[in-house]
Amino acid sequence: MTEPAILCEALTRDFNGLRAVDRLDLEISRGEVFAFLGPNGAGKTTTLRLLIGLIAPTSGSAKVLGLDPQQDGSRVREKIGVLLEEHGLYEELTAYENLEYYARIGRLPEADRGGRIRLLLEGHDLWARRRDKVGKFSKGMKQRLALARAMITRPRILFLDEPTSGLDPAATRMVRETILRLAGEEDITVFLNTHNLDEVERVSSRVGIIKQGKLLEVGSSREVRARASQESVCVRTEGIPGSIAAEIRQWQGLRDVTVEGDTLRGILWNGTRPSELVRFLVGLGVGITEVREEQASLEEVFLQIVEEEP
Amino acid sequence: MTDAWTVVWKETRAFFSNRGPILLGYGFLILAFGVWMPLDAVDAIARGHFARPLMIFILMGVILASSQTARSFAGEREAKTLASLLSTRIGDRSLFLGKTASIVLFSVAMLTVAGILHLAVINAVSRLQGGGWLFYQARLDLVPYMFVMPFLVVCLTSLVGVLISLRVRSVRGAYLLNLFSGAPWVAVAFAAIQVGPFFGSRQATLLSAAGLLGVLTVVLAWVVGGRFRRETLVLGF
Repeated sequence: MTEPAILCEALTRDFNGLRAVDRLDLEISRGEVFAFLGPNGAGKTTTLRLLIGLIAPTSGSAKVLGLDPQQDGSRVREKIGVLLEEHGLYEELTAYENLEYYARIGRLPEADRGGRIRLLLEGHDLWARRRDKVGKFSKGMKQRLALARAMITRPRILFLDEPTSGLDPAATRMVRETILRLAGEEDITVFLNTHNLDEVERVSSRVGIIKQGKLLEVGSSREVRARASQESVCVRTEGIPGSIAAEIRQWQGLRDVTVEGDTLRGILWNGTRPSELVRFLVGLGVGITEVREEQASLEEVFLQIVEEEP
Repeated sequence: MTDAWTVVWKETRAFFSNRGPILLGYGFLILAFGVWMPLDAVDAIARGHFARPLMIFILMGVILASSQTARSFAGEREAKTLASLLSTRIGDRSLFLGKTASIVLFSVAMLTVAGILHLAVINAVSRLQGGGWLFYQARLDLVPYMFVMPFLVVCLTSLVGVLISLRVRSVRGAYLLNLFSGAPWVAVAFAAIQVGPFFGSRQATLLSAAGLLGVLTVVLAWVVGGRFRRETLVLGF
């Protein structure tokens, strides 16, 4: 069996008595684009820092490509590329020099260095600007260069922390396309920290939702949406008188009931099935024209999950 | 060592990529210490006074090392480049060595330029005034301290500066604190220069002071190297 790219077992990190990451169990396969979703302060960046060996866990363990980031931090970082929320480029150096510095640190052989830098700069549409100081670049160009820098040593895992934050739509699209290409063609595992739900839907193969350091949900975005919204129904009727609407709201099999005109929406509760709801409504004398199960958007699911949990 | 040299390579590129205020500032410092101050002291130096040029270079060493250290460490934090650098395979020790070596190399290089200017100025003025070549030939036994003492002061200021700069948010704040941190080394050197003759041998006093600064440099390098940890750098203050 292939070893997972990332494996966390009860990974925990405290800061001055505050638990930033709480017994995180997570397994990410090779070649996967995993999106780590959570509100600000949820523990996403701390998890990333733990995984790349920048900080030590309070308890629990992590393995990245089979290596312990604490014991073999340097070897782990040799095999990964990282793009943090701040691009971290040296603005007084040129685009080429920035990549050259990281290529040298990454011990890329000298014979290979120039070609690799050229390939990446061309691939990110920056070759013509290679001699310009990064301080003159737009935010989108800097982000593209930072992404190129993260890939300079041909990493097997790419850690991206909010890679499209503050970018214009064109730059955002370019970053997304790069992520998809890396995962598809180059079989690179991508660990994506984000709170951009649209990005998650478009690029990720699996999603993990974290809040207050706890992993609340994990699965493909379709699975997460389905799990959170499979009981949601929309019933179109021939009309619901006010007295009957009140009676429906009292019923134990349905919660969060809304009635707008002839349409009734709610979440099936206590294991109630749609057929039971139909029988209940017919019993109240409500004429039904359509019953439809509804799936919430990832945004709705995300908000539902993070608001529900204490 | 390869990684440490890579850091030196980058720091050199970054240093010479700086245009305007930073390079002008260093240029002004070199001119002040290498031209203006010796011009003001030609007579004293001609009479064989050793204290003034030595103190000039020690003070210049403190200023240069304070500024370079603040830029190198607090500057990386301020520019938010440190976390990305720490996310690479580079080791803590290599990073520390590379950055400290760059600071010492640049400071010593600028001290050397100022020193050459200093010698040129006092000799030119001395010749113009009808005097002979100076070159401190009167006190050749003290000349090594002109190199050793500023070098040690630069090392000490950089090492303490590393500790300070890791905990200070801005380059300016780090620079000012680094300058203050250089005061004890300046005091040791000053005391050795001034007190030496009263104990009979200036050379012995200077040798003791240089020895003390040398031992402190080794101890501080060991302490600072030990405290230079990734987690501290990432989480900071």
